[in-house]
Amino acid sequence: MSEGNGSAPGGRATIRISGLTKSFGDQTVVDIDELVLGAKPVEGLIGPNGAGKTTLMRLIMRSTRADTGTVVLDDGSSEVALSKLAPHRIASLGVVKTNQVTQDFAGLTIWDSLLLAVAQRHDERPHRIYRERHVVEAYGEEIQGYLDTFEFSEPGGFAHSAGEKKLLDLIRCLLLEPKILLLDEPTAGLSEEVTTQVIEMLRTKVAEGMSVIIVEHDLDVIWGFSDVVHFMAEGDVILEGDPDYIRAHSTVVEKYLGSGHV
Amino acid sequence: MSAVWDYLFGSPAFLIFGTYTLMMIVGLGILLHLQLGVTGIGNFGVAGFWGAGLYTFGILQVHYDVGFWLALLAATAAGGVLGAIAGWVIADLDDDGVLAATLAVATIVFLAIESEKDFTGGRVGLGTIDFPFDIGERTDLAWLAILFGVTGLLLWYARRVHRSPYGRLLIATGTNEPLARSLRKPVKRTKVGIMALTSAGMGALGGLYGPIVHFLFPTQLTVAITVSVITALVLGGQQRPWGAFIGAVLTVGLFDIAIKLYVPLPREVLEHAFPVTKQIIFGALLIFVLLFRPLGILGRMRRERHVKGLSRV
Ligand SMILES: Nc1ncnc2c1ncn2[C@@H]1O[C@H](COP(=O)(O)OP(=O)(O)OP(=O)(O)O)[C@@H](O)[C@H]1O
Ligand SMILES: [Mg+2]
Repeated sequence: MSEGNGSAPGGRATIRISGLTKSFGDQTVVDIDELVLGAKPVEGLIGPNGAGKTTLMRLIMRSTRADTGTVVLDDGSSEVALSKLAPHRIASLGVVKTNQVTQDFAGLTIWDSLLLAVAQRHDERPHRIYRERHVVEAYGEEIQGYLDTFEFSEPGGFAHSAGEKKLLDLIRCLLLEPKILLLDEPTAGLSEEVTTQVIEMLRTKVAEGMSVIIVEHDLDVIWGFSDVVHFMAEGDVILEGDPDYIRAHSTVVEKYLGSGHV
Repeated sequence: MSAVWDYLFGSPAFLIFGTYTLMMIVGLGILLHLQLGVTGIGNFGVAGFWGAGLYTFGILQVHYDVGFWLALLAATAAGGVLGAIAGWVIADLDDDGVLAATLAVATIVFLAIESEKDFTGGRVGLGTIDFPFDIGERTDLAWLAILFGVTGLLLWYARRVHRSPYGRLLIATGTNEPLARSLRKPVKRTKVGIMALTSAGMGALGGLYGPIVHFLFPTQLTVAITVSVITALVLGGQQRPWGAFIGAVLTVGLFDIAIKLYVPLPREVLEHAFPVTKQIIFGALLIFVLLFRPLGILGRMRRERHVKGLSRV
């Protein structure tokens, strides 16, 4: 594949957020003044349940519409206001997100799902009814590579368990070759072994230039994987720093680590 | 040989007309399959898109002496434009909204045709429309052969769509829009596109129906035709390209061909009780299928077969 890979000339692409708010009813769920995500290769986003982590990611992807505020993608040479784009355009620009709540296409097999992810716009036109061969030839090997790495009970059929669907969700996103991958609890529900495999895979991709922003309640993953950690509570990122700093910070201990929540 | 031919195809005009109807229902059913069974768009206004084509064709031929091909092209375009508009309207609606909106489209077409008497003749009718060629007695049969060809082409296209990246995009759009968007797929454009394309097909079928009836009346495009198409498709299997064909043979084939031809019903019954009974049975059948076998006789789409065959696409 050609586009969407690697870091920009001026460094990593970042997401700059300003004045972003979102309320459901009279509950303010996200209220962020200024925040930059993606400056480091791997950034953790942690915080108690209901802190607004998922909502923040959905606001960036515009799968939820913000009440106010702007989100800008800055790849070092140009800036794009993501907050003005349709969700499919955001994904085209290389900002991609996995889902906390398992999402799948009922009726599409594992191969279908992955071929869908890689197929380009011009492959999917109504008159291109003989295009399948090309898509399989162009991307089949890459897909097979993922299926060799991750084990599915029926690779030629459908994803069955929640864990398999979660994996499939991740592979679909990786196939898009994102610049910035937002991961919303990617290892929840996965076995320890598969979790290790996933992190391994992500490390490889990061080494190739992809940036990761990861929400995860499994803090071993966060401390071991992140370069920087954002701590979010009550809709705002209130602390940022390297993992050791965040881990030892009294506010974090009080609001999150000490609560017996983990 | 000729005696057998005459017995089966020659004499009874019923057979030919019934088979025209059958082919129309199959063709519309295949197009509805692409909308409903593949993309998940429940179009309850089939008669409207088809009727837009039928009347565009009729008006151009009767009032403006437009030639066959141009009139057919215009009929196709009329269906397509109406489909694009409908697709744009329904793109953000939920399933119930889609049903209501498409039914509304059909109703608007019907009312427009009924009221714009200068063009359409209203209830008095619009005619006459003739076949674009005349080869004597066998003209009817030739037209039937053309319809067979067109329906076959639609079937072939639908089957190809299932095996193409485009079909996969349609299925994805139909089953999980937010997820499709997150994978860069332009959901709204996809829906508008498939509605325009398939409704253009419906418009073209409408145009081809013109010469068959010679005279157009608004009553030809009531909800009855939509119900017939939906019944056939749902009974046969909405997710499968052959579904409409199987379903249509079992419904229209049975009622409009077999019974009319080979069961000696009195003319009285045939003209009055029969069509009503047919609609009631179709309705009941539809409910029965939806309750006990929602995916119809052929059942669900078989994608895993496609995967096994990927090496042979
Ligand atoms: N669509 C919605 N409608 C109403 N309230 C919502 C909606 N989505 C989220 N919320 C509320 O917003 C708050 C933040 O939710 P969010 O899912 O962003 O939290 P989170 O930090 O991801 O939590 P978790 O760690 O449990 O995943 C919660 O109180 C939640 O109930
Ligand atoms: Mg969450």
